[in-house]
Amino acid sequence: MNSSRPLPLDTLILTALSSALACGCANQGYSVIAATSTTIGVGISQQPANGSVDATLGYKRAEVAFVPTNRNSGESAGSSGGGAKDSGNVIMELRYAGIFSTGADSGIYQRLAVGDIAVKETGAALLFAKGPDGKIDAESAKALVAVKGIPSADTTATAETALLARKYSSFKASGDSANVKKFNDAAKGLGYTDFGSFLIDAKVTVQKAKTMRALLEGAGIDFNH
Amino acid sequence: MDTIVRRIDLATVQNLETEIQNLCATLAGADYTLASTFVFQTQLVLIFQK
Repeated sequence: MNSSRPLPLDTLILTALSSALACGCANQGYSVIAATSTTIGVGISQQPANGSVDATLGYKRAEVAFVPTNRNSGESAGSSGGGAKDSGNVIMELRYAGIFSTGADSGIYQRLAVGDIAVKETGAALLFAKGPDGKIDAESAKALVAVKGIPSADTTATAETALLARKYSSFKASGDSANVKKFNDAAKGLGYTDFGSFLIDAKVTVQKAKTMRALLEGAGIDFNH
Repeated sequence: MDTIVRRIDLATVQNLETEIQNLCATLAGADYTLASTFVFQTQLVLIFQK
C-alpha cells in the first residue's frame, strides 16, 4: 500500500516582512515636525533535525526633521513672512528594495515633501509619480512635463478675476451695454483689446486684477452688491 | 471653436470646489464653458471651449 508521507525533511521557510511605516507631520511651536520610522524584519528557518538554515535580517530606522517656519512665538502665530505657512522646503525619499523578493514591486517606499515650493516642484511631482519599483518610465516623465507646461491657475488671482467676471457676466446677461462698455474700456486701459481678453489671460496677477477692480470702481461699478 | 486649457495642482489647492468655480466664472465671462477635464498625477487639467 502506497501512502503519501511527509517529506523526511520538513522544510519550513518563514519569511516575515514587517514594515511599520509611521509618518507624522505636526505643527509645533516654530517648526513643522516631519517624523518617520521604519522597521523591517525577515526570518527564514528550517527544521533543525536535518540541518537547519536560519537567517535573520533586521532593519530599523527613524528620522525626525524640524522644518523651521516664520511662526511667532507665543499664542499669536503672526503673519511675518507668511507666518506658519512659510516653512523650509524639504523633499526626501526612502526606497527599500524587496527583501528576498520574487516580484519587482516588492519593497517599501516612502515619499515626503514639505513646504509650498517643494510640493509644487517638478522634482516632487516626479518623485510621487514613481512606481513601487522606484522607477518612472520615460513616457510618464515626458507626459508630466507636458502637463506641467499648461498654465496653472493662480488661486488668489483667480478669486479676484472671478469677482470681476461675475459682475461683467451679469451686465452682459441683462443687456446693460453701458456697464459692459466700462469693463471693456478699463481693460483697454490695461493694454487688452477688451475685457474678455483680460479674463483669458493666464498671466493675470493679483495686483493686476486689483488694478482692474480699482479702475472699474472709479468708473462707478459697485462690487459690494 | 476656440479652446483654452488650464491646470490646477491638486497637491497645493486649498479649496478645490471654490477654485473650480472661480475658474469657470472667470472664463464664462469670456464666453468659454468647461468642456472636459482629466487628472494626470496630481494635476487637474480643465479644457474650456467657446
